[in-house]
Amino acid sequence: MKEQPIMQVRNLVKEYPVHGGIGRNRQGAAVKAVSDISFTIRKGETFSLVGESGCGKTTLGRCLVRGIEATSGQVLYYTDEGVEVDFLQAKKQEYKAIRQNIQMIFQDPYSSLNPRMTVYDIISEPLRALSTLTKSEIDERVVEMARRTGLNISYLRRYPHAFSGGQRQRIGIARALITNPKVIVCDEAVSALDVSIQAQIINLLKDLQQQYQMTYVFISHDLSVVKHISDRIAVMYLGRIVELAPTEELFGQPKHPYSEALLLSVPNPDPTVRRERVILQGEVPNPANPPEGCHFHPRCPYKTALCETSAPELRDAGEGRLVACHHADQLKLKGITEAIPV
Amino acid sequence: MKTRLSGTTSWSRLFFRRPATNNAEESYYAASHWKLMLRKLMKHKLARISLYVLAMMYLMVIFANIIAPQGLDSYDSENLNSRPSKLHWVDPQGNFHFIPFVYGLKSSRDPVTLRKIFVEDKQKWYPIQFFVKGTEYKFLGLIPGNVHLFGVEDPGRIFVFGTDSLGRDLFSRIVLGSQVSLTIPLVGVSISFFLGLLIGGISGYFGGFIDTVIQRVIEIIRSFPTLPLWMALSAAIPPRVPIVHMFFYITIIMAFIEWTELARVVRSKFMALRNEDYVMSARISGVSNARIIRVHLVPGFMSYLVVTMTLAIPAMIIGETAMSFLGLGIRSPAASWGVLLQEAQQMENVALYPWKLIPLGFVIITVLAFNFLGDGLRDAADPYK
Repeated sequence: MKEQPIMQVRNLVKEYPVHGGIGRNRQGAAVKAVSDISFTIRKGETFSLVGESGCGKTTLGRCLVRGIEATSGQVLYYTDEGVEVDFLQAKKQEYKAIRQNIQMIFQDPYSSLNPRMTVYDIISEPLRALSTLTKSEIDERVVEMARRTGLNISYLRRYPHAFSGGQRQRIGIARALITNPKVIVCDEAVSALDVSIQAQIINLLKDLQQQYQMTYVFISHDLSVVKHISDRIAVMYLGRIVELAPTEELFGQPKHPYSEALLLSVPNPDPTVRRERVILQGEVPNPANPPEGCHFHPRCPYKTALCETSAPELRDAGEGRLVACHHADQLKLKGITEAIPV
Repeated sequence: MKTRLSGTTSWSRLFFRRPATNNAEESYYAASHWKLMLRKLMKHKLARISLYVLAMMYLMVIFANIIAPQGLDSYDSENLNSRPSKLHWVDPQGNFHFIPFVYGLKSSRDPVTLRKIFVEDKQKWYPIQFFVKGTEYKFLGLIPGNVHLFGVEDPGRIFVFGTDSLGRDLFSRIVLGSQVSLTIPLVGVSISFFLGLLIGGISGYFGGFIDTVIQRVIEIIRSFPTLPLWMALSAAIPPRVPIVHMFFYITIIMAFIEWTELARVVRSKFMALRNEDYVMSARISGVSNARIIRVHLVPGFMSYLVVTMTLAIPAMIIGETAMSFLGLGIRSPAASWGVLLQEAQQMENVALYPWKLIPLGFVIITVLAFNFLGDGLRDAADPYK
C-alpha cells in the first residue's frame, strides 16, 4: 500500500530576490532557497525532511502547501480516483478540493493561532472557508476533533492566551485535521515544545495517522524525533536534497558525507558509549552565492578535485535510495546503529 | 454536560451564551482581546483617572449650554475685566447662609494707580440659585431652552472665572468654547483615521512601487513646517464663512497633516502581521484575501491604531488652540480655548488680569489626560504579556 504515490514534487524552485541599494544597483542576485527539488511522497508514509537551519526545508514545506508560492515547478497531487492534479496551478473549485486534503501544522504554537479568535473559531475556520457544511454539522465536527486531540470541550469558548504550548499545539493539530486531509506537512511541529510534551504530541500524531490513514511530511532538525516516526528521510543541504533513503538504511549507513556528519552529531545519552564524530569545518555557504561544483565540497572531509568543479546529480543508489555524491559508492561512511531514545 | 453535547443541538449556542463555570479564572480565559485590554487599562491608575477627567470634560461639552450661565453673545459693558466673583457664606451681620451668595459690584478707582477696580458692595447680596432662567439657547442645537445650571438674580452677576475686556463671562466662554476645542480633535482624528487606514492599507498591502510613492508623499507632507502651512491653508478659507463651515475647514486642515502618522502605523502593522504564522495558517485554510484582511489583519492592529489615535488628539487640540490663538482659526464671537487665549497675547492683560490665562489650564489638563490615557492604552494594547 505504501508504494502508491500521493504527492509528487517536480523541479520545485523558490527564489527570493535580493535587493541591494537603490537605482541601478537594484538588480541583485536571487537566493535559491529551494533549488530544483524533485521527489515522491507515498501514500500513508511519514516522509521527513531534515537539515540544518537555513537549508530550505521550511520553505520547501510551505511551498508544498502553497503557504508561499513557488517560483517554478510542480506539486502533483493524486486524488482518490488516481487523477493527477498540479496543486500549484489549481484554481477555484479544484483548489478548494485539494486544499482540504493538504494541511499544515506549524512550528510555533504561539504565533500560529490568532489571539483574537476563540478556539472554536480557530478550529472551525478551515471548514467554514472550504466546506459547505451547515452550522450544526461544523459544530459536531469541531467537538469530535477536540475530543480526538485531547481538548476539553469547555475549552472551545476560550481564547488561545488561556493555554500552554502543548495544548496550543493540540489546537493547531485539531485545526489542521478538521477537513480530513490526506497529507499533513508538520513544520517542526514539536520543536518548540518541552521534551515531555514532545513525546505526547508525537504519539498523538502517530495515533491520528493510523486512525485517518494520513501521510505526513515531517520537517525537523531533530534526528531522534525523525528516526522515531519516519519511514523515509530526505537530507537537505543548501536548498537541495543530498540524500533520500528509508530510515533504517540512512541511519545504518549513510551514503552522503553530509548525512554522516549530521547523524554523528546526534548526542548519545549513554556515557559508556564513545562514538566517533565528524565535525564539519566552516560555515554554511551564503545561499546567494553558492560554491562551484558540489555545494558541500568546502566542508566535506572526503572531497576530491572532481567535487570542486562538477556538481553531482541526485542519482539512484539502489535499495530505493537516492544520493547526490560523486563518491557515494567508494566511501564507507559510518551511521549509528544503537537506538536513540526520543 | 458531556451527554448533552453528544445530542444534536447547536453547540455554538452552548459555547457562547453561557459560561461553563462562573469563576474568575474562566472569565479570564474566555475574555476577548478588548476585554483583556480594558482590564489592563483599568489597572493603569493614571489612565483610569484620565478617563474620568475626560468623561467629565465631554459631559461638559454635551451640557455646555446648560452649565454656562451666559450665552456666547452675552456681554456686560458695566463689568469689563472683572475679577472672579468671590463666594460668601457669612454676611456683614455675621449670619451664616447655607446657600452661598455673591455681593454686587461697584466700580471705583484705585487711589494709587488710578486703575479701574471693582469693589464689593456689601449692601447688596445675591444668593446663588439653581436652574434659573437666563439666555436663550438651543440644547445640542435642536431643543430650545433657557434654563441654566446656576446663576444669580438680576442685577447681580456671577463671574466664576472673571470677565474679559468686553465684559464677557470667561467661565461661560470656556465651557462653550470646549464644544469647539474638544470636538475638532475628534472629528479631525476620525477623518485622519479614515485616510490613514485607506492609504496606509493600500501602501502596506500592495507594497512595491505604490508603497514607495505613498511613503515619499507622506515624507513631503510631514516635512512642511506646520505654521506656514496653516497660514496658507487658512488664507484659502473665505473670510466670512459661518462658524460651522469654519469648524469644518479647520478640521480638514488638521486632518490633512495628521493622517500621515496613522497611515504609517497602519502600513507597518500591515506588513508585520502579513508575515505572522496565523495569517499564513488562514491562507492555507483557504480563507479568502478579503476575509484575511477583515478578520485577521485589521483586528490585529486596531488596538495599536486606537493608541495612535488617542495620542494624536492632544496634538490636534494644541494645533487648534495655536491656530485660533494666532487668529487663523475660529474667530470671535465664536469661542474656542485658543480664541480665549488671544487676550493673553498682551503682556498687560497677563499682568493685570491673570484669570485670562485660565483657559490654558483647561488645555493643559485635557492634553495631559489624553496623553496619560494613550500611555495606558499603549501598555494595554498587547495584553498577553
